[in-house]
Amino acid sequence: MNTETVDRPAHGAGGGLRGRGGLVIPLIMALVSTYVVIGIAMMEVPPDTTFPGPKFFPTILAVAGYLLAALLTLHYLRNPDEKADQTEYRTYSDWTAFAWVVGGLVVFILLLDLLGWIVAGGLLFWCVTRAFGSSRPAFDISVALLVSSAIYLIFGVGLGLPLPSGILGGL
Amino acid sequence: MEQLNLLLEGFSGALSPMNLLWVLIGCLIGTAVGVLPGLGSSMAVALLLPMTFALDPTAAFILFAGVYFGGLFGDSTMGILMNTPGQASAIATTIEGHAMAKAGRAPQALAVAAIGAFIGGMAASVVVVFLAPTLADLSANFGPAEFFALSLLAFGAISSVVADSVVKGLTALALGLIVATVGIDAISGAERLTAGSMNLFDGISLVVVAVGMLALGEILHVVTRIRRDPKPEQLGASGDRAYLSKSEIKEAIPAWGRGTAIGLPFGVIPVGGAEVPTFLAYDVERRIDRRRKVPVFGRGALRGVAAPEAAGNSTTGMAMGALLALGLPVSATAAIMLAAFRQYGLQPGPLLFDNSPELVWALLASFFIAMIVLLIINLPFAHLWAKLLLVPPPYLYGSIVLFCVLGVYATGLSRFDLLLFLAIGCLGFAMRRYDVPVAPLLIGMVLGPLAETSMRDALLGSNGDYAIFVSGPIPLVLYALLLIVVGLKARQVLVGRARRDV
Amino acid sequence: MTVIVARTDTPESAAALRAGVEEARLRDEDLVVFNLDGVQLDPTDEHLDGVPVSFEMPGPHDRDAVGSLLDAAARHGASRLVIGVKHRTPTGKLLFGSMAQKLLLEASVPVLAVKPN
Repeated sequence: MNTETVDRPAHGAGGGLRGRGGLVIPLIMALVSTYVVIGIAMMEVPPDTTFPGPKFFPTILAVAGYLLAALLTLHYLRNPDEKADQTEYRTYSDWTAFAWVVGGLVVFILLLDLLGWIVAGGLLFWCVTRAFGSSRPAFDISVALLVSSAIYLIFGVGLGLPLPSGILGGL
Repeated sequence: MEQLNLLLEGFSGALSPMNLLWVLIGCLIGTAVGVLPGLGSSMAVALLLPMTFALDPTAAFILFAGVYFGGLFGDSTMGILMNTPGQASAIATTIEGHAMAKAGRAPQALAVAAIGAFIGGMAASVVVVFLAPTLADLSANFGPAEFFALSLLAFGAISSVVADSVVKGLTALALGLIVATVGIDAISGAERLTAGSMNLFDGISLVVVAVGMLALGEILHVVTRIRRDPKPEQLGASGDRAYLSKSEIKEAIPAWGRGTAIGLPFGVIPVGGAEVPTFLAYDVERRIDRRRKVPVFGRGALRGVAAPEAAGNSTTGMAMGALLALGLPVSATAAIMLAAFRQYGLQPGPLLFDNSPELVWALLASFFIAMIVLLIINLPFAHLWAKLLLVPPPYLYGSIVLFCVLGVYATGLSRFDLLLFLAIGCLGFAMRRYDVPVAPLLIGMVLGPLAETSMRDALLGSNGDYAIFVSGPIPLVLYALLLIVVGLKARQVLVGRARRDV
Repeated sequence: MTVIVARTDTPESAAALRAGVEEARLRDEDLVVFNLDGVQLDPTDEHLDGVPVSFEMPGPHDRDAVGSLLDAAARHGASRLVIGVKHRTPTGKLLFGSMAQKLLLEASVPVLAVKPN
């Protein structure tokens, strides 16, 4: 498993791909299987290993993975996504809301050490409230900081979890 | 009657003030996540997993058991009031339960469900107390071939039963097994699928996968729909009468009994949680109802609530027994609990009963306590639980996301884990969006190492002779069970098409 | 009193619908069309060939459509249940079961079974 799984479904692309977003699942399965194959090829096996060695099980999985990817492709081609047609919106999923959560997480991960838990966590909380359609962005900032500070106090100060203090640490 | 003495000792352990507190906290958390739409006991257990490392094992499992059972209680409450069953096991209860609520009989539906869940859970706990040690003794003779057959049975059953298509179930399973192979191979010491990254030497942490799959994946799924789907309408928990009448109790008693009897055997067969038995129980009641002079199904039938609820909880109770005695998880929640046992260096199975009897029996005793606690906090206070829905979703989900990253960060203190968590969350979202079940992935990840090492140990022992897998009666019985499960699934798929002849 | 028709997307069921309309007209009763697959197949008019008609389908969580149809028949106090039937081998019925057979055996009202043409 690795970051290739962040591939977004090619959903709402219109045209021939409409309702075929499910193909992202076989795509992921095939990519993961390829990763396994490369991993097996590059694996250094200690010389005294007897059959079945460390490559045995992954090999079965890689073969099964490709087979499943092929079957899944068939399945999703035969059963196009009905939800995509029934929605009154341009796309079935609300990608703006999705982007707020994922974007908030990316920013949180990148800036955690720099900003510290309280600020980065507060920012993440605020992004999630935006995603869920909260109507009071200014008020949410105070709620966000309150929650992230509470967690910092309970888990960081109280239970001794080394949460980064970041820029606030110097104060 | 050795079990009774052990159980009494267990009670003395479980009734210590601290452990009682953990039962109570577990039940409260479980009911709360069950009540809140979009949350479930599997998400709660995943989020609690990193937090419980600070607890001693007994307290941690008592907490988990409370959450597991509490989730079932809370889920049916919301299913009845809002027609939104959170987990598949609550769907059957919801059909007649919501119809009762619409007819102004919400208190009766809630009471029948809570008492049914209590009866089912209690009956299962009693059976587990007497059966689990025997099961554990049986599995004491398990060698590599038997363990391999057992894990194959679990894999086959979970991937064929929880998904609408077997291919999707197997896909999730294969992904889980691949995740489990990452890291240093325990037998040969070879480095596998790490791409040379130091971060992957120790493998991928279950916390990262569980929290990513079950919590973040679900949250992403909810957020893409929350502003588009119509809001479910909540019916009040009050009705014409507050309590069950004598005649209603008399009517529900046989249904509770039948539901419990249907649910018990399913806990040991890994068929993916409590969905199958709840629907079986529902169908039986409906068929019986049709023969009555005045059929009441479809308009809010008491028995349609009583039977599935008893079946669901008796299955769940038995599943906990199977987990303790065989190390066999039958749902995502149970898989996480199994992994938690391993984190404490404990291996469920016969050795657990011999090596840590105080933990096992305190845990079993806590089942009984949890059932009583849950009945007390659910029966009279259902309308208070419904108030939880007043928490604004943005703040609720904001806090959950913060707890996710806190849990993931706390286990490894690594930014890499957080990135992996995000990627797995996106995968979990894609799987939910296209109806690929996530439970097989977790079961594959948790049981994968057992399957692989037992397979390789068996082949090493037999010098590469594959006949080792079918030698001996236990593997053959297990494979026969697997064939039956797969055969039933195949029949179900074919029947759906072939029997339509009107 | 009403006449209730089991509706799917098969030719057998189309014949059943025609027979159901005819039966309802003869008996001067209402018609209930029960969409077994949970999909609305016909235009949702209030009249079919002059017969007052209403539509029903199984609930969203229902997994036993035949059972819901029988429940609906009982609820409406139906006087006739109209179904279309097609030829099946005995082995096929034994292995996979038959909706038609179940309806014939379990219905508490007289059943009118028709074949296309």
